[in-house]
Formats: sequence, C-alpha cells, structure tokens
Amino acid sequence: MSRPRARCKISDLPPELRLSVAAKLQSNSDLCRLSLANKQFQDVAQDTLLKNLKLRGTTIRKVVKTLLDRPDLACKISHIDLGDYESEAGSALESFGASDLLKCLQLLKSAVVDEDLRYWIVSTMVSQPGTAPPGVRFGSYTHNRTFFLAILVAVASCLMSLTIELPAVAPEDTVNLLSQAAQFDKQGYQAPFEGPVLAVLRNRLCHFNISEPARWKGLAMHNLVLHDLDALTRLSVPLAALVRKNMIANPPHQVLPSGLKHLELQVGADGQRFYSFVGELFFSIARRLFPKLRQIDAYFPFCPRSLINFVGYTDDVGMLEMVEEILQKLDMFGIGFATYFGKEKKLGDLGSELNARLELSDTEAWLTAMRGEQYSTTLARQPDPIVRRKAMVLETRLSLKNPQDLGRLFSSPTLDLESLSNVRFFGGIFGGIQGTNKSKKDSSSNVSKTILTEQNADSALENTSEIEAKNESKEEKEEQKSETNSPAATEAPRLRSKRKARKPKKAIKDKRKRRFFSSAPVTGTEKEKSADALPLELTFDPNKWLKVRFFETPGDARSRQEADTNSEANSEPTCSFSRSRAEKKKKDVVRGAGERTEG
Amino acid sequence: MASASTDAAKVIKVTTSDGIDITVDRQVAERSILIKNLLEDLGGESTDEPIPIPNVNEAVMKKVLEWCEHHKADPPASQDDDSDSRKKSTDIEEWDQKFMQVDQEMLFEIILAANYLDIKALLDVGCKTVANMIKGKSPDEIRKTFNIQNDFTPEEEDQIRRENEWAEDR
Repeated sequence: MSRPRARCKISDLPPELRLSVAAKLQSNSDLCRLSLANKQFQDVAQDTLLKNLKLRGTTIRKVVKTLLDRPDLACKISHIDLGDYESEAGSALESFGASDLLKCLQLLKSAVVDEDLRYWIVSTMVSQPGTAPPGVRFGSYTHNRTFFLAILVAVASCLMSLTIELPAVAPEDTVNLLSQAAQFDKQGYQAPFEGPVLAVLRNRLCHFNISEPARWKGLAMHNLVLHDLDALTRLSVPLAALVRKNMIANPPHQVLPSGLKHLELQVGADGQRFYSFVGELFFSIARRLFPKLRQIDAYFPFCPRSLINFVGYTDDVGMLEMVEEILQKLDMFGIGFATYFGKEKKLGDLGSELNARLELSDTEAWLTAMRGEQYSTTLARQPDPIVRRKAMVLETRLSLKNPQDLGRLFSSPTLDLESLSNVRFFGGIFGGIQGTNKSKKDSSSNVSKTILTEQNADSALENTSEIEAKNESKEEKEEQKSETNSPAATEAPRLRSKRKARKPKKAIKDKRKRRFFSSAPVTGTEKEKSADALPLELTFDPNKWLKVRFFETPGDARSRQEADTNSEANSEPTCSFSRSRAEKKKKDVVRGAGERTEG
Repeated sequence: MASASTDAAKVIKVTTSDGIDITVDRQVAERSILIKNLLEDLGGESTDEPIPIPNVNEAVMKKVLEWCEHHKADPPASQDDDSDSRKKSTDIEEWDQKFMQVDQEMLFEIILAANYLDIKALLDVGCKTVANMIKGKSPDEIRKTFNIQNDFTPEEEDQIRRENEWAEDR
C-alpha cells in the first residue's frame, strides 16, 4: 500500500496525529483560531481545548455557562488546569440568572447519580446568593468559587487530573510574626477542597498537581491533608504544604493517600524542608504504609551543592549519612528516587553528590563552593585525597585572582597557558614586567631571551614611575575583585594600603612577592632568583618553572639547589608563551598610561 | 562481549515502498521501535534479509534515517504520558529545526513515517514544527498556510465563536 508521492497534505494526517499537533499548541487563543480554520481542525482544536481545560481568572464561570448550553462537551474534559484560581478578586454569581440556575439543576440531575451528593451540591448552590456572608470559606476557597468548582467537577464525568495553585492562607490564619511557632503549631491540617467538591473528586481524581505559588502569598502555606482522595495515584505537591514553617514534617501517612504510586515533591527555596520530610517519608515507607509507591521525584530550584549545604541549618549531625542511607534503602524497597535541580530541571544524582561531600573535608567543600563547582566534580578530578589537600593548601595560601583557573591549571595534564596567565600572581607580575619591557625595548636587543635582573627591572621601574603607578592601581583593582570571591582575602587589601602609605614602592613589591611564594625557609637571594626566573621570561621554560618555590615541597629545597647548577646549561625553551597576548597587554598598559597623562 | 557483538549483525537492510534496499547500522535503525521489535522477533538470525517497510518510500526513509543517525546516542524516550504533552511547544533543538526545513509535503510524510515506524521523538519534533506553523496565525492565515478551504457557513462560525468564548480571554 504505497502512498502516492504527490500531494501529501495536512488533511492526510490521521485524526490522532492532528490531535498531537494541536496538543503542542499551548495557548487557548491559538486553539480558538485553529478551530475556525475548517471543520477538520475545529474538531481537533475544540477537543484539545476541552480535554486539557486551561482556566484563568474568571473563565471558570464562562466555561460552566458554555457547558449548560452544550452538556455533551462536558465528558470531553479529562484535565482541568485551574491556575491561580483565587487570583482574581470577587466573583460574579450575580451574572448567573434564574434560567441558568434551572439549567444547572437539570445538568446536575443527569451528571450526578448519587442523590445525596446532588442534593448537597444543589443546597450549596441555592443557599448561595446573598445568604452566605462574604469571605466564608469552603476548604481553601471562598463560597462562590467552591460553587463553580463543584458544578464543573460534577459534570465533567471523565475528569482524571487537576492542576491548581493554592490560594493564600485565609486571613484568620495569618502569621503573627512575633509568635510564629505558636501560630504554626495551632494551625491544623486542611484539605484543598471540602464539601461537595471533595465528595465528587474523591473517587475520580487520579492525578493531582498542586503547583507552587507563582506570586507572594504570605509566609505560611496550607498544611494540606490529601488523605481523602482515594483514587489518587500521582501527586505533585509543594513541600511547603507538607512541612510546617517550624520544619516539623506532617506525618506522611496521615496526610497523603495510601494508594499513591508516584510522588513529586517541589522543594521550593527552603531546602531544609527536604531533610525534615525525607526522614518522615522513609519511616512511613519502611512501615509499608505506602505499599504502591514506586517513584519519588524531587525538584529543587537550586544546585545539588546548595541542597547539601542546607543541611547546615538542621540540627542533626549525621543528616547527610542518613539521607545517603535512605537513598540506598529506597532502592531496596523498589522505589525510584530521582532528583532534578535548577530552573531547567536537570536530572542530577543526589547520591553521588552526597558521597562526594562526605569524602571532602570542610575546607575543600568551601573551596569547591567558591569555585562554583559541584562536589562530585571536585572529587572526580582529584580522587586522591593527598593531591587534593596539596592543591587546597596552595589555593588558600595564594588566595588567587581566578581560583577556578588555578584548578584548571593544576588539573590539566598539559600546561594550560590561558589559566596560567589568568591566575593573579602570574598575570599581576606579567603586567608589571611588560610595562618595563616596553620602555627598555630599544636598549635590550633580545627581549624574549633576556632575563632581566632585579637591578635592571628596578631602574626601569623608577624611570617609568607613571606606568608603574598604573600597574599598581590595576593590581589593586584586581585584588579588590578577588576580594569579593574569597573572603580569606578580606583583610589583605586594607593591610596593604596601610603598608603602602609608610613604605617606598620597591619595598612593597618585594614584600608582596615574598607573600606569594612559599614561606619555607630559604635564603633570600635564592628565592628572588628563582622567583624572577619565571615571570620575567616570555618563553616558557619548564626547568625554570620547576625551580619556582611553590611547586615543590619544602623538603625538596636542598636537592633542587644542587640540581640548579647542573640544569642551568641545558635549559631550552620548549613551549613559547603566547606572544600576541603579551604584546596586547603591553599595548594596553601603554595606552592606559597615555590616557593618564592626558587626564 | 566479543561474541555478543558478532551475534547481532551491525548492519541491516530495509526495503522501502518503492522497492529500494537501504543499508543501515542496526543501532541507527533501532531508533524505530517497529524495526527494533521486528529484529527482536527475528532473534538476530536472518538479519541479512531486508526488512520490508511498505509504508515509507525511499526519499522519506533516507530523511528519517538521517535523523536517526544524528540522534542515535540519545537516551531512550521517557515515558511521558498524555498529561504532559501540552507544554513546551517551541523548544526544538537547532539541528532538528534545520532538519525540518523541508517542504510541507515532506514534513507530513516524515510525520506519517515517524508514526508508522514508531519513533516518538521524531514524531514529537514533527508535530512541534507544524504547531509552530499554526502559532499566532489568524484562521485565514492558517488556511493559506496549509492550503485548505473554509467549509463553514457564517452561522456555524458564529456558533463556534460562542462555544469558544471562554477561551478567548487571553
């Protein structure tokens, strides 16, 4: 049955494919316009509109009115997205005239078989106009809203799934900031729906998605009890609705339906709640109170590192170990546990992050956080704790400009030149030297190969005091930048500026140089010699590189001293530092100095 | 491990509706659940025999296999059920967007083929592409885009407008 190649049109798509095209359209208005294109599309578009009923604000009233005229449409509704149902103030029951009420009664008669339930809905309805004092609540909703919701869910006989954003906690429950704890303890559980709505939904609702509030709705959230929803198999709920503000989790078996198969937790901004809840949940699971539960998904608005750091707010010392154990045990119970992080909801492995955090020391964890990395990344790069510790000591001692580049520098199997020049210590010295190189360029014939002596550099510095001043301020700035990155360096600039006031420039420079290098005991000349060897040369010489103090342990000092004399002869530049880069820097410095004199 | 890779032949053949044999990596072809199931049923013995695909012609099959080739390393499709299907319509990755820049005829052929071959991700991309062609257009523009006739009487149009009034809000 080969199809003729010619003229395959959109009308050739079978209805189910046209439905999946329409399902990709998000906005109601797109679907409305599509329904006016032709009859084929009308069916598809209207089915999609009703199947996933997306309601905003007061549209529920209009939908109910439409359904009164077209009762046949009601059975097409399988999902209702109520959005922020409480967001639009007021309700317009007044627009519901007597004829509408009559139609409504008839519709309910055909839709709701249970006579008691029907009577219940009707009694809410007829007692409604005028009689109920304003602000009276049914569950989480005001009377008027409950009324429309009751009719809608009652007539939608195929309804399976519901999405809703909970309204603010009613004013009488509002938090008294002065006695928060007392207030929250008093606050009892609350069902999202009560009365007829709950009665209708009890045996019908399979999927319930309670979304996190999209706007500020006060400090408190409803303490939800969903135990009554017997048919519920899949639930998505903000954790704030299950854990109180004082971080006491409501016992899960008391608030969640026992038939639950799939639980999605939206953890929200306060990760502490997760720790409070996960223990309680596991306790209930271990007691086989959720026999059907197969999958738990947790959504965090932040990265795994932040989640692990929230443990600092909890009092329990062994919390991380406990969570790790729980994750393993859940696996044994045959329950999947998936964690999603960040706004993009990226799947992340909490288990390995926990493991990595437990492997790392506190200082390492702190440095990892400073670099903006995840713990598992740090651990994967340097699984050997000794190497890790060495790198860490260097990192703190140097309090470098771009700590992430230092990580790259040390972890790279080959030399990463870019990170080398980015790290403050190298970049800083290079900046200073290039200024002097520029001024000495005419006199020194072979800049790239000549190693400037300390005296040379100093006289150059004196001659070009302006350039030096520029560099000084540049370095100062960079240091200030790094200060925001590393709290360890907070004290340094202040102390330095004091020193600057008292001492001449050369002294400052020496002092700083000393600070950068290893504090191990070596003779002053030796230190300076090896220190100068590296930054003053524009080509990279690995032998000289090794001579610089801080790449060695203090114990190596002697052997290096001996090797020094031997290796001097056969030092060959093997890898040349990017010239264009160095030149560019030079230009920048000179231009900066020029601007300075003009100004 | 070595025996496993020799057991299942790495290359298979498919025969398209116009009787042309296409040779393709087994891993690539198995993006299609239909072919994958077929191969599993055959038990990996008669893989040198071409698999007939009577609903897809050569040009479309080649295009589909091009997509499969690019996406062969993708993780298997997640079990997203129907309730999630009405979100994120515009998100098509760049390569797929370029891939879908074909004439409408080909686009619908690809969608049909993806449906027949049971390649959920490709079907998804195809539907999203069509949905993006509909997005933001007036009914008249939609008709022009897809070259379809308006078969409503003015009364019917009014009726639909009334029925959809609730949804026009925003």
